[in-house]
Amino acid sequence: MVDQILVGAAIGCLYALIAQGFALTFRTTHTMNFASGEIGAIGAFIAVGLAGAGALPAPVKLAVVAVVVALIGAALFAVLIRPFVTNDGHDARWLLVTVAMSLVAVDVLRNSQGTQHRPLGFAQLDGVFSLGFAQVPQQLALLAVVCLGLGVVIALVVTRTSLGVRMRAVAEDAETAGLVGIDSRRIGMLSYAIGSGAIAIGATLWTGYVGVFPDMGPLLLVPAFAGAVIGGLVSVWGALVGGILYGVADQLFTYWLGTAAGGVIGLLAVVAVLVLRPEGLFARRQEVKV
Amino acid sequence: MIRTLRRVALSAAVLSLLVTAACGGSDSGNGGKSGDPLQAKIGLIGPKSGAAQFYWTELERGIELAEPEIKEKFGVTFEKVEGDDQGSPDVASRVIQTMLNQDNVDVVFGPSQSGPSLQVAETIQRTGRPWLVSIAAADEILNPEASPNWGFRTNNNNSDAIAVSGSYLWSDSDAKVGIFYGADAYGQSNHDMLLAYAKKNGKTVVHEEVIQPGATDVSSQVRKMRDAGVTSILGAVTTGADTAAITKAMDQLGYKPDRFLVTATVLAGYTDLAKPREWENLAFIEPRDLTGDSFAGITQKYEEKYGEKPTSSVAVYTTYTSALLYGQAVAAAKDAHDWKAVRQAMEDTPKLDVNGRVWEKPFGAADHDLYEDDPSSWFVIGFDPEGKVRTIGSAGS
Amino acid sequence: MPARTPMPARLRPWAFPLLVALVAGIAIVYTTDGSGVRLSNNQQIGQICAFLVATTGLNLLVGRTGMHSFAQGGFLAIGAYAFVWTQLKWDAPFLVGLAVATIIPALAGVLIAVATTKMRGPQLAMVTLIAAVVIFKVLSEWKPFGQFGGYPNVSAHGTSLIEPPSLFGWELQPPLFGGTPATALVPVIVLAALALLLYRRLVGTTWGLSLSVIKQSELLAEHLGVNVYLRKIAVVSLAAGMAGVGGVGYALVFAHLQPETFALMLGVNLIVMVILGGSGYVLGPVIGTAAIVYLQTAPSVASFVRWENDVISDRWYLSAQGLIAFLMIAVLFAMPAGIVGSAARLYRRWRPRTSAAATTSWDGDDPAAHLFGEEAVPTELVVDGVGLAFGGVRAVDGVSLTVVPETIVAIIGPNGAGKSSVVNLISGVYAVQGGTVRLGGDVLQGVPSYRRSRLGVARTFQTPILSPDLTVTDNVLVGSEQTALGSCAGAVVPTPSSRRRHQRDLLDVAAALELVGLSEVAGRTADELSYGQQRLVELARALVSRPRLLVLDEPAAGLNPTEIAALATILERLRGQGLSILLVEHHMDLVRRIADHVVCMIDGRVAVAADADTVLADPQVVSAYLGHGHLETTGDRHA
Repeated sequence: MVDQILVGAAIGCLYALIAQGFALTFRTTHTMNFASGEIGAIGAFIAVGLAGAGALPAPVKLAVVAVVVALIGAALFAVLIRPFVTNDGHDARWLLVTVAMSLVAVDVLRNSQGTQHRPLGFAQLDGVFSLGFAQVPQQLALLAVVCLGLGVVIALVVTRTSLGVRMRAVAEDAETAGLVGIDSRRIGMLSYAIGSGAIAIGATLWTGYVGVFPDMGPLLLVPAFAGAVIGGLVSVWGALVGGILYGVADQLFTYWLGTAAGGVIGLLAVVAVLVLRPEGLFARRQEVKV
Repeated sequence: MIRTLRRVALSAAVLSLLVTAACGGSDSGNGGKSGDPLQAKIGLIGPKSGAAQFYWTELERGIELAEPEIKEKFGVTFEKVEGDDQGSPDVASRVIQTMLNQDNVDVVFGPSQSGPSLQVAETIQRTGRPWLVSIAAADEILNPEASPNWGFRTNNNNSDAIAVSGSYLWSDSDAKVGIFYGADAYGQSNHDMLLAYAKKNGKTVVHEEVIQPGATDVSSQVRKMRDAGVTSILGAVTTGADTAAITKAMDQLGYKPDRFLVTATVLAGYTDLAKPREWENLAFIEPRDLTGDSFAGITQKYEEKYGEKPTSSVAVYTTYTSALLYGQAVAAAKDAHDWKAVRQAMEDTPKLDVNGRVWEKPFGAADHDLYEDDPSSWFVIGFDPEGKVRTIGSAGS
Repeated sequence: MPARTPMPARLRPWAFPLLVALVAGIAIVYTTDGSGVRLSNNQQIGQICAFLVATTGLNLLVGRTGMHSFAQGGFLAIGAYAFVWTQLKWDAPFLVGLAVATIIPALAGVLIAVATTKMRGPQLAMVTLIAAVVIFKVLSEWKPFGQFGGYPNVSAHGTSLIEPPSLFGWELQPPLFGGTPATALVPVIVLAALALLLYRRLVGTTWGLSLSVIKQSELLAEHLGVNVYLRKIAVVSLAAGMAGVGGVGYALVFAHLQPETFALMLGVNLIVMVILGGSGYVLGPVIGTAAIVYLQTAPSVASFVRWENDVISDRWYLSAQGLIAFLMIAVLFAMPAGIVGSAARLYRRWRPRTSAAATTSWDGDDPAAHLFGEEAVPTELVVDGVGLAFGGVRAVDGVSLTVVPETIVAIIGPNGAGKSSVVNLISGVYAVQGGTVRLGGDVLQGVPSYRRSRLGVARTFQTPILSPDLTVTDNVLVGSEQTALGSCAGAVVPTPSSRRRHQRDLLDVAAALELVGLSEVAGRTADELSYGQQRLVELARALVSRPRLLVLDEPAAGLNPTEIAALATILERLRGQGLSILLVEHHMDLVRRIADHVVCMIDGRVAVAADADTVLADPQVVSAYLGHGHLETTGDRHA
């Protein structure tokens, strides 16, 4: 069972990283990218393309992937999502735009790359870490370390740096933030860039374990969204914990109850959390203002 | 101002797209009733778009590859009507409707996947049109009660595959048999068949585990399989990637069952994703000798024509077979548009020769499956360390 | 913008039903002749009609109530499976199957609504997404429903098609076989027509208006006496039931169910249909559903894909699904209100709605007497030692005050003194922490806002909450008792008494508008009014419920001196009718003129309470105001 917890936590770190992207963009723009899974897929396919460039060391390739995808993320926000940023909670057009984006992306990826899984071709560790009491595949360990590291860095940037302060200012009141010279558009683009770049690295390392394929989006989206929601949506630390929590819970329920029931119970647990604490586990309840 | 202009331009574009969509393409065919009796109007339906596009590609190419031979041997030519079912049953139902009643096709090839096939099976059957099922493997697609039966299958069905697999899995009398199966149509069907086989033969399936397609990690399922003491496993999952996930977990846990039997779906991408040590004791059974001349010859034709390896060489071969079967029947019936005669001719096929492999009287009124479940006619196939298929032997021995 | 709530165009009452009946009739005649050539069209029409019932239900949620649900596809699946189950298990008559297939998803809807009461936005989306995934999993992995083998299937049922159900001795044949008239399409088309009529009928009633109020502000809805919790349950289960009916339609058209059809993607598609067509418009889902179902298999889309392959690339192209998604993005940019919504707006620009078309005008004597004359029971508000803390900060600390009938009490005090919090404690926005609040013989603390409203508390807000798209009349009408108490069934089926009640409500609205002096603008939409007028609309809305206690939060903020004078006159008239009035106010001129009693709050406590002149002269009050800013005595303050 310890093995299952460790493996669940490792995959959970990837969910957490994507969930942080949700939290980050939701704080600053009140939008979330439902095409995040496809952003990851785009990153992984770019990585496959780079695999041939043998001369570059793996970390450099990953960095290139991250930068390219970050630019794509920022551009998508500026062009397609930003026009739908409003304060109206009932206006869900951003959601539809990002869902539509994911459908377009997956369609293009399927048509151009084929639907088959293919090997990533680099940054793959083959083997198992034996900790005595438990074992973790090295690739998953690498995934966990990198995602967790990125996640902590993102959380620290958001909570501790002046950039984070500006992000928070935009999150709390974009108009007032604008008055003191904070460009909410740039902050939004930056949030999307950070989120997308991080997802690209995480998803690429993950495909080193499972293979690269166009339809990987939904496999990442639902757990990451669940992690973000139980983490409280606006809290980057909450998303980090929420994602890992979901990863572990999903793995344990699967272990105890089998794949079919376990997957369902994992999702119902998310519903239960939301019913008990609609604001999530780690965010403070907002008082109504009249 | 620019905003308004942009909006107006976009609106115009959207509207024109809708209008062209609404007005365009009312080219309903007038049926194949007229013209050359040996030119068949064939309907091809499969997932041209969607998550399983390669099944469409192999369907289309399998027929394309067979066309020269059909023309040369039987003088029959094809006029193709293509339909994209998008892998979705309701879309398949609508596409089939157009094919059967508007385009008036002489024969339907496909759908490639079981779900859409099951949705349209009864419609084709009751409408009465020759129907070639060359890729989808679910047994229920052909209703055994139907008479006359319009459907012909040139792939093996799941129950035949399981009957042969069963005899292989239990060939060691005290083998403890377990199954990994995918949470999809293919996995469920194989699972049900294995259980039915076990019941019929007085055996028990010791342990079963579901594999979620695309799951990152299946070590918990593999661990439980090991802990149940299973020595002989059937793996019925849809993609090579899922098989790779299983063998990876087995490798990590150091679990080596005596037999790990999978299905031909493993051909799609497995060896790209797995390591040679993980496939050492992996095998799958096939009613086709994948290294034999008949099969390898068609795969080679494919590579020459399209410059790439087929994703599913089996689908190409079975579709090639179906096209030959149909072409031969059209020649025998002398009129592609006489559907009843063509159907009868297929049922009465005296001999079918697919690139050297010969079937004598493969069908009967109650038997519309090309392959039989006699283990001695099946092969056990594995991979060599380079990842090339190798025939280990006959499933009968 | 999507937050707007479009209202049906004012046609003659029979025009819309006639149109729907006409189109349905043509569709039925067209589809049931049994010729093979049209079969695929028939099937498409059948699928559109089946989905249309579900998308119209979803339109109630998305367009009216502002709830985005991915679960509608799941409910449709439940309906379809439940219906087929009744056919296979009992060979049930069509109507029995229909009833079962409506009730089961409706109950599932209740479950979802109960679970999501406190959620909105992303949380709500998450839960409905999970519901869709779980429903798909259950249907695809549960043995009795044939799993991926389909339902029914050959091995368990001997056939893969359901037997045609019977309706009044008629066999309902699916549009699958040439030469057989597709009689199953008759009920499918009729159900779609009924769904449209139901929708159109509902949104014109106070029940339907209350949904728009919930979308605008749940807080406001609560203060109008609407039990938001129950009403959300009602609308979610109504929508789910309609999805179930759509599922029946699907089962009739295809006669066989494969779980692949009902994956999450269906739920996404249904939302896309609503928004693409125009959410909130009765014809929106019609256009959206027809467009998407048609485009999926449109020959021209196929030829467009071929064109892409020939001209652009045979690898980098969009196929049907991608093209539809692309179209969706384009529509969101070009037509924010959807196809129908944008068309409607263009039409409005070309031909503005004539104002005051269908409003009742007031021609009685004294509107105040009409509203409060006979039945008003003078009631006293007693607030005793109430407290409220946010975190560690005590916003309200042991405040007591009394409003005697036929008096006006004003609460004044510097910003942050806790004035609004006291109002919020009285109307039920916050729960009191200690102390009591009584209105006449009724205890208010611990009672939810909607019940307080029904007990006779009406209030206005610091910034007015109005539905910008609704007419002034409709905005006031939502204040009437029927908004709170009317039932969905009552709204759908008009009875003579409900018609009379509605006429009475309209008369009340006219009286209230006359009272506040807005009769002239009754037919305008709220967003056409000045800020001052909007505040008066809120006041009128508060009055039509015939409250015993009227609570006004800074009613004069943003008004010009003339308007303030008018407001004072109105309030004095209301006082004359025996009302208890409590107001929070900064305008000392107004306070001095109308307040019988003034309470000054400083730092959450009552500092001074006496008549206006005494309080305003009190040194404590003067220094508090000076310390926090200035004591306003002029009317130029704008909020």
